[in-house]
Amino acid sequence: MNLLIVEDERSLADDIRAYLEGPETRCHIAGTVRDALDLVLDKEFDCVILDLDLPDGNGLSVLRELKKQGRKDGVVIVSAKDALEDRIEGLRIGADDYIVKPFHLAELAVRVQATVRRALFDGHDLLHFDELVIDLPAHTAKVNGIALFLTPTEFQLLRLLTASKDRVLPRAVIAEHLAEDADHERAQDLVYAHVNNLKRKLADVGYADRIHTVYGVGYRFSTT
Amino acid sequence: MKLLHRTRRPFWIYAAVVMVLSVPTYYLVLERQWLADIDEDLVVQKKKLEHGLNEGHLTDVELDSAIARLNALDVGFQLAEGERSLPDHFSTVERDDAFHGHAEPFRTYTSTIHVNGRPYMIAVSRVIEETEELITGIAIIACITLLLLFGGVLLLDRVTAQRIWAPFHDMLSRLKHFQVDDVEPFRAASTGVSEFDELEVELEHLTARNMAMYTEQRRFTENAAHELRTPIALLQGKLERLFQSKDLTQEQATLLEEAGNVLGRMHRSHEGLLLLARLENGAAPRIGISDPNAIVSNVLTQWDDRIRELHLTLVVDGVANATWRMEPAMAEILLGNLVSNAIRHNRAGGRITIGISPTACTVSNTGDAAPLDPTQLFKRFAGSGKGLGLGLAIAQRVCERQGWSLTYAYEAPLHVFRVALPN
Repeated sequence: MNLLIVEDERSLADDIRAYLEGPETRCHIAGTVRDALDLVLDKEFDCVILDLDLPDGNGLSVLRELKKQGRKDGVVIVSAKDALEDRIEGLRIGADDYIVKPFHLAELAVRVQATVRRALFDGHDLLHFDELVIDLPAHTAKVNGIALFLTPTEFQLLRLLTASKDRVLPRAVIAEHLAEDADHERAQDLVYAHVNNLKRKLADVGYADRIHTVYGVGYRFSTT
Repeated sequence: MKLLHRTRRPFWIYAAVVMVLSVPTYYLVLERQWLADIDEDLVVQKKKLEHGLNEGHLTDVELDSAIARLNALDVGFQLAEGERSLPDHFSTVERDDAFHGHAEPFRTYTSTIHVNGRPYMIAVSRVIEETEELITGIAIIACITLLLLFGGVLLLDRVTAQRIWAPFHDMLSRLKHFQVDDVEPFRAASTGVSEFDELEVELEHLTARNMAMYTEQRRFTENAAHELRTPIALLQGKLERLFQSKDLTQEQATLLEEAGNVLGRMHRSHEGLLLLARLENGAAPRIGISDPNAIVSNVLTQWDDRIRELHLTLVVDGVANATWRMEPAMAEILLGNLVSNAIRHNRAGGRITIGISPTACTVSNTGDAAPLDPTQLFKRFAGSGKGLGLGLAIAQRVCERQGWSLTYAYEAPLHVFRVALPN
């Protein structure tokens, strides 16, 4: 999978790359509109992570160029602006998603994954993690063909964990993603309860030991 | 009260007083004048009669028979021998008259005349009905004239007022449609009335200053948003990468987690303040229709876990198909904050009641068994430390901007927050 990170804050671009890059994922970085245009005209990307405030212009011009050429590259806008107009404008031109800074890298990973899948397979694609199969548009998951009965929260949790495969997910990040009251002292206990329920349901169908507890930090999903 | 009504009111009071006083005065003065004329006439008649009878040089016998004949004819006077003890007198009496066929008002002058050196009492009379009719007629004409005068003045006043105030109303409607975040500024128009022209120019300056200030503030909030969000994003990225370190000790993990929590808090405070700033810097609310029932059920889904964990009893009483004239994003902010507030400050096993109608919304919750201070409640950072302390301030701002009201009342054991929409 090829990703393009268009971000003028080099340090943030590096963090995104470090988080998203893996054995099957390569990341390219562009710090300006010009560099980004050079790169997208040179090769296709599965997803472009696009900052809007760039030193030499607005990131939307990269998006416009892609659409003008009829390209199918997925685009996730990452911006410090959250004015409704900006958001609507971005989505109108054809961005797949819009995420406001600051965001958790795990959150970005989920969005990028969804965008890539949508762009590649028109949404009719299944995510495979060994015996686990996740059907994103249908919001269902199966292990060896046996359907898992997950609550919406558990499904969301499974999506988050799998999108950040082999990465440690801090509890606070999970709590925030699940739209819990992250300020509350009990939020992390709730995360614990949800993770345990999910683990139990996965273990019941023979998919045990994929979600690991990292003591004092959070959880990590990995395949065998 | 409209300005026109205010200026017309004293005029009308004055006109009414003039009408009420002048018509009877007119009537009375006319009547008096007429009676005086008639009385004068009656006196002249008496004198003529006295003179005529004396001129005839009749003998006493002839005189008596003449008087008897005259009395029988009843042509406006009656004579009787004798001297009146009282002074001369005028009176108005109703009496039957054979030739009129019904009772008629008569003016009668009673006096004494001397014929052949003998005193006679005389009563000279005259029917005064036609004079009364005349006076009434004149009074009615006066009345109509006055009414025409006042009516005409009013009509003219209305027509001119409409013409004079037209540019003012036009200015008012342009001002009402002016919005500080509009691209189109308020432009002064020439009205032909110097006071209005002056006002137009002043308004143009004022609105231009307003727009400039709004743009400046907007730029500031945008900068603040960008300049703080980016470093928070950077810090967050670093923390998340640190979490990925292979050999993180327990102590380091705890420190990292705490740092992450503090950063999260900072992020939420910043977003809350930015939202408040945006709500407060004057942009008019967008027009939209929202479905409060759907929003509430959506918000409650997000809080599902907490509600279950606290074993809260939830009662949602929504009028079906209730809609609000509010941008959905704002309705989400308002209801989201009220509901999260009711959950955060609840106690285990407590209750939440949510009522939704097209004109109101109440969110009630159990909690501390004492009323809260309503003067402090909606202030920023005045919370009990269970949240950021911005939620209610934001909710109130959203309401105020919309022209709605958000009030608090303690109806033991419930803390009730009530949003009232104007009808």
